[in-house]
Amino acid sequence: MNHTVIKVSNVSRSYITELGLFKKEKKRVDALNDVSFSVKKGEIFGLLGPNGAGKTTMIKILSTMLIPHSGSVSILGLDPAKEFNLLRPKINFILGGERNLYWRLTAYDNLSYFADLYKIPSTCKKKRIKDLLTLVGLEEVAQQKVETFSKGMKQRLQIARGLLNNPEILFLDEPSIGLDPVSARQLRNLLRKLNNQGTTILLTTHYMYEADELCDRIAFINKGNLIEIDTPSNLKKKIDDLSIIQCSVIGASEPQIETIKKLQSIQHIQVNQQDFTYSLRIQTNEPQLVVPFIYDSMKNSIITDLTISNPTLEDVYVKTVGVNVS
Amino acid sequence: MKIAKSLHHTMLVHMKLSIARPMFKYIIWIMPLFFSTIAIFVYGTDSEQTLLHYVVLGSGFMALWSSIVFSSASDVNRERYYGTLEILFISPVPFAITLIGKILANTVWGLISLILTFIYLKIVFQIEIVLYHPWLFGLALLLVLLTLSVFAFFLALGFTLSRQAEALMNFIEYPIYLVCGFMFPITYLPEWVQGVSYILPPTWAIQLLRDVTAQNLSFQSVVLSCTAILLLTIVYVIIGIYCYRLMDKKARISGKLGVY
Repeated sequence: MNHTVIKVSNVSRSYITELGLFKKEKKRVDALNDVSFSVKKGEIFGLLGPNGAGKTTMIKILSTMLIPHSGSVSILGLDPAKEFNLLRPKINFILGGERNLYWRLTAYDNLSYFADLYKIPSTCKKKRIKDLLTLVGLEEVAQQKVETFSKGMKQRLQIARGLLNNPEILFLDEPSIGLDPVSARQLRNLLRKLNNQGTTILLTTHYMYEADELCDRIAFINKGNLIEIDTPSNLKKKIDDLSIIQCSVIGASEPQIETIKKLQSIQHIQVNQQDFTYSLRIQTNEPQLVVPFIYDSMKNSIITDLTISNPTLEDVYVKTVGVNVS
Repeated sequence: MKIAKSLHHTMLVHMKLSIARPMFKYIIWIMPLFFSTIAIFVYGTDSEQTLLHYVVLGSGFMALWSSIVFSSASDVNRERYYGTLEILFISPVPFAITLIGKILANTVWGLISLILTFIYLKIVFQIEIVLYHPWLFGLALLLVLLTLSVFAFFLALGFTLSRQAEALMNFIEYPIYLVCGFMFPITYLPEWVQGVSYILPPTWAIQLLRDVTAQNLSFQSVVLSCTAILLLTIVYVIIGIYCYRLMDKKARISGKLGVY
């Protein structure tokens, strides 16, 4: 990791939407506000934020799909708004979800077509496709139509598509969305393998554990603003005075939960309810006060488990961005 | 060379994708048979020449038009739905090549449909199809395919920018059959409508095919149709290039390529 390959300086971007049938009213939505950051060669950089934070807009700008309204972007020394013809062969992007493939074609046909769109020479095309199918574990189903694939298989095929041109920089927009834990882990292993081979990766996600495990550096983004940028360990250090109390309670009433929420020692509380069970995740720097209070408040209810742990990246995120992350 | 390969591959992929759709199968295999049967009911007792011009060429041309223009244009919306439009748009091969590949794919299917119409009319209705000037017909057909492809390219750009363009496309498919005189001479239409007919390439395209299949070839009429087609093609190429550049920029400004 030495020189900067992505430099984003004061980028802003908004969308105009029209409302109404006859008298159309224009509404402006600011997707990015004065965002700046840089990514070094060989880094895995994560953009984290809730839905609508501006992550996809940033990926689209970086992958030459969108022009920013102000600010400047430089990727591998090229301006994606103007020098996209030179830049496109050197980068690629992968979107999360099941779309972005031709379902009525086989996995091989999909890759073969996209390989031609990326001008891959015929001399190495077949081998490249075979290697990529092996890399993503789809070599046995290469001649099957994509419509017969599971979501995880489609996602892996997308990864193979994104690697066809052996990109110097790979952009991934929520790559693990909808994947089961095993597929998500396979994906993370694959990304790490690519990164070890020298590919710079910029990914967006709202799965904190994924970012924590993968990224060298992370930027928190919310409502178009970049809030925090640092390594996962440095980010966690910022709240290492906090303790995390997690507990599950059966048969608690809403007033009991409200009583806990009002406790001054609690910095943040996240409550999830499933049937008769409440799950609480509490951030506090006074666990010695909070734990007895929970037991006192939950009389006539059953506390099935209670743990005190160190903060995770999710807790940093909750504290920084100030929203619930489930 | 790489561009030619991409064009060829795009064409093959989209031939596969198009014919996998039931609606497209209907357009290629079934619809021309309905049109030609209806045309036979209208012109059944007329001369061989009229049958050739308004039944064989008319219904065959309708199939060609539906396949090339209607399908090529709405293919862009389908890509949007598949989620592949953005990938095609930002791949190193220019998006124009992808569009041309799609148009070529549908042109091949349209030609197959045209030939199917000819065979159906010949076998089922025993219509005599005599091409007095086969070479001239071949050349005219090439010119016709070129002009329809250019027109299709122009319409496809509208689809790239706007999802609403599909409504317009559905709205104009059948009126074009009438306004361009696929099944009857446009002189039957009011004069102000004829004005519209003359600025649309399909009018001159079908006219040229009729000119070169006439028993008594009118050199003057062929030249007039060819000139009109060439001029309109040039005009639509210029508009197409301008619109393509505009689309290329506007798509990246509006950011709605992936929205369907």
